Amino acid sequence: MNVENIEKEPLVPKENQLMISSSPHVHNGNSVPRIMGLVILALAPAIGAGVYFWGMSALTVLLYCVIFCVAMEASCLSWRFAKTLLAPFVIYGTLCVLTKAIFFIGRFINMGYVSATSKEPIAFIDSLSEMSQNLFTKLFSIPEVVVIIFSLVMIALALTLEIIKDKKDRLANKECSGALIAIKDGSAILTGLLLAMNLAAGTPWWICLVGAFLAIVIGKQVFGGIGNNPFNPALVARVGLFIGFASYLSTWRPTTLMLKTSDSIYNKLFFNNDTVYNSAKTVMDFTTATPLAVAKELADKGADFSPLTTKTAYLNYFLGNMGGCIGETSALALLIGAVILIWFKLIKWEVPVYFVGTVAVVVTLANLFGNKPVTPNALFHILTGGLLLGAIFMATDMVTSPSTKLGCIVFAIGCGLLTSVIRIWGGYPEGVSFSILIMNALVPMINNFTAKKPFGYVNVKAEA
Amino acid sequence: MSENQGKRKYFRGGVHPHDGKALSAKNSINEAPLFDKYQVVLQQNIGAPPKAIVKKGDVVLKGQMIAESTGFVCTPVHAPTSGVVSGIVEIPGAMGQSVKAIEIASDGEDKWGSSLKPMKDWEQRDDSEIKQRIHDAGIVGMGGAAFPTHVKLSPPENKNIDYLILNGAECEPYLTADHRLMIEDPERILKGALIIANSLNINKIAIGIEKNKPDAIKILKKHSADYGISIVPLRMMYPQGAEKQLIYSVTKRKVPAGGLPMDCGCVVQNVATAAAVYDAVVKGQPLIERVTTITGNSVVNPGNWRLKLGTTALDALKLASGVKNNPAKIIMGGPMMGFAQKSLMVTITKNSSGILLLDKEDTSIYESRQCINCKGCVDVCPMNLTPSVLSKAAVKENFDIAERFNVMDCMECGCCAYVCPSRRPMVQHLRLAKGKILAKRRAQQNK
Ligand code: SF4
Ligand code: SF4
Repeated sequence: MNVENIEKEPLVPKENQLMISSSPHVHNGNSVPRIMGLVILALAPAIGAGVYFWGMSALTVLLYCVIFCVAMEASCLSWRFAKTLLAPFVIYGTLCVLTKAIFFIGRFINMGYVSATSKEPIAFIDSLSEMSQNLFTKLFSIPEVVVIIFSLVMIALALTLEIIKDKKDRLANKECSGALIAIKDGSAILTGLLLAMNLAAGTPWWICLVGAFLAIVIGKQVFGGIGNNPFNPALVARVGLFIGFASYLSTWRPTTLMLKTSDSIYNKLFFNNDTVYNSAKTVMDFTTATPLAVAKELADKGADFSPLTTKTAYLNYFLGNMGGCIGETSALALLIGAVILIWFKLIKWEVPVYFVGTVAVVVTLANLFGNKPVTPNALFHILTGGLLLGAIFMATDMVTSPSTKLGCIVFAIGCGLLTSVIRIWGGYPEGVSFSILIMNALVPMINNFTAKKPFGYVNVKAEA
Repeated sequence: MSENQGKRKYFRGGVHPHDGKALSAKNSINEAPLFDKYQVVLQQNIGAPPKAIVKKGDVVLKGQMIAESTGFVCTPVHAPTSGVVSGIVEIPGAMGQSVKAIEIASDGEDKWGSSLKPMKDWEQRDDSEIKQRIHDAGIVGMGGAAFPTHVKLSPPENKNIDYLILNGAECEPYLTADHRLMIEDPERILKGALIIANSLNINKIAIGIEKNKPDAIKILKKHSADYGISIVPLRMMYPQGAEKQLIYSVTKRKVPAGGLPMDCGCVVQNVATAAAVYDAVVKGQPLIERVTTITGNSVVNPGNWRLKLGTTALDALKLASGVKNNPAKIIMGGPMMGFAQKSLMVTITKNSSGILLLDKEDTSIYESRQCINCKGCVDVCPMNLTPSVLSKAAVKENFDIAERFNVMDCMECGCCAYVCPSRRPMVQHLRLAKGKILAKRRAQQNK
């Protein structure tokens, strides 16, 4: 048998099965899903810390955000999907808006008729108005489980449809829609996680839904999807929500640990009413202030910052035992994430370092030049608020940062400057999101200024 | 050396592709048997196409000129064996277009008939005589570009050349032809280098070799002492063998952007070219054969063969006992810069350093997507460009932006596409932009 084989003509490749493409013909195997997966891995410690501190109320927010973001992304990418998913939402939304509108119209007419003498029509409109108000409240109090299950079923259904269609297209050698590839890359999951990191524990589901819409649709898809968005989607959502629903975005829950260590001075600072605090059983029963907000208050009063900068306080800040967004509180967890990101070369270490460094320098200088400190010291600013989250995960976002290393450094310094200015002199206690968004807008300009010089570049003007 | 102070030790960027050289690195160069017919591509050099001087039915001898050069940047072509010209045919070229080739039916005798006389006393000969001989023997850069060697050796008067660098880096994965040549024929390479240096009146000669070829470095070091040639081991990093990067690694000189090696006093030649120069001058033998690596995971017996120009890829593959399974791609050259082929009738030319068969698992099948601005390509570009910006500009047909971001300095090394997580066909985009910009410049000049 072997002999036969040797005598046969050697096997040669079949020409009709050869592929043609431009060089290079090999690849290192890196891919977008891999990058997204690694970033999610780097986020894991911070997510874990959030869930540890707030328990279920953090976990549900994370879940809502991820599910809604994936649903939004998928519906933007696939019209079939959009139809199945959006129809119920549209009907539901229309109902809500209609009832609300009737309520307002009722009120308006009502008001008009009060000044007049006739009372007959008022009763009717009044009742209508009241009815719609009740209906509205009911509509908005659908149990959360229902919403989650509904969304999951829709996603599953639509994805199945998409997969079947994709298989068919492939078999028929037609061009695939590409929607599936785009959904599979995991960028929507990452956006969802980042969005949740920027919300407080216990945020209601519909805020998450609006946030997902702002992030995925307004922040990303209207610009052409992944890679084309000038602004960081999660931050677009955060700022959008902040403007629209400020109260939900600045209601912070105390961590479970804070409830246990009830008698420290530190806690007195954050809860202005001791009796309510002492009767609180779970984190959802009570709200707290963030250290930065307290600092702002103290600064406005011209008071001393020393209670905020005790050793215990710093330890608490470092571990994340304070009020704030789900992802921003634990400096420790965020730093672990940073190590992962730098290890896998997903971010340049320069960005977080320059960002945080600039804040530290500006804060120190500001305190140095006044006759008394205008704000707590640099360490306080680094450990509290969203600075580390922003510097490690937001300012390093690949798509929305400049193309070169030098550009990224300029970008980071700009972010740092704006953040500290807003924190010290601005109206908000927190400035990271705004400063990153502002710098995002400047990226094209930074790119132009920091264009690289090719290898062997000679300055023609200098030589002449 | 004060000249090198404060300079980076290595060039910036670069990648580490899987090198795959183990497949064929230990297999010594085999002589190929005589085939029935050869299809010698007419134009095997960059520049002007040569003119065929034989017609159907002519009897030719091995080494006889069959096409003469038509300009300065042009080289003649010679018959690889004796036989009868059976016509001028159209065959698929290595770069995808169809090319003219002179088909020679071998008479089986392989009778020698070159008009070039050996010049044993080359040291006494005039520079111009040597350069003329290099031209007459049809020698071009055998590393890939196929740039006529005599042109490189004739720099304009105002350029002061003081350094000859032989390129033995062979940084392309899978290829081992130069590697084997350096091990088996060090004398020819070194003497060829001397001849070239002599014709340029310089005495600084260096051979750059990547460190993954310790055996070649050892052998060349042993021999080179007598010739005053220094051997420079180079860091393993693709594209170490690219002209500008090689010059930087060896001399720490930077070729000015948009310039040529001669602008910093260097001339770079491939080691195979040096060996060919030696044959041409000392033995009077024109360039009619070269060492080619036939390799790939699906090849039954990967190895290195000395093939006559005009051998088809099909014949060459049969030498390597054919394939085990059907490959996904056949590439002339290496995997980073070579060209994918659609036909096995493509033939060996003066710059065919390898025939590479890639399986589906080895190669990258593009499903390209949006750039996510990961900056991977920016970090690896050895020319210090911003490939992501260039590729986006090219796709949007914003060629002015591409030009402003120096797309013309791109050498198409492929590092950017190698690392791109979005699998963008970067090199394709970059070539498009370069082509359009060149066309525009030409149109402006003609105005
Ligand atoms: S192909 Fe061009 S742009 Fe890409 S890495 Fe190489 S030189 Fe840079
Ligand atoms: S490697 Fe690809 S995805 Fe990354 S910046 Fe370059 S072109 Fe964009």
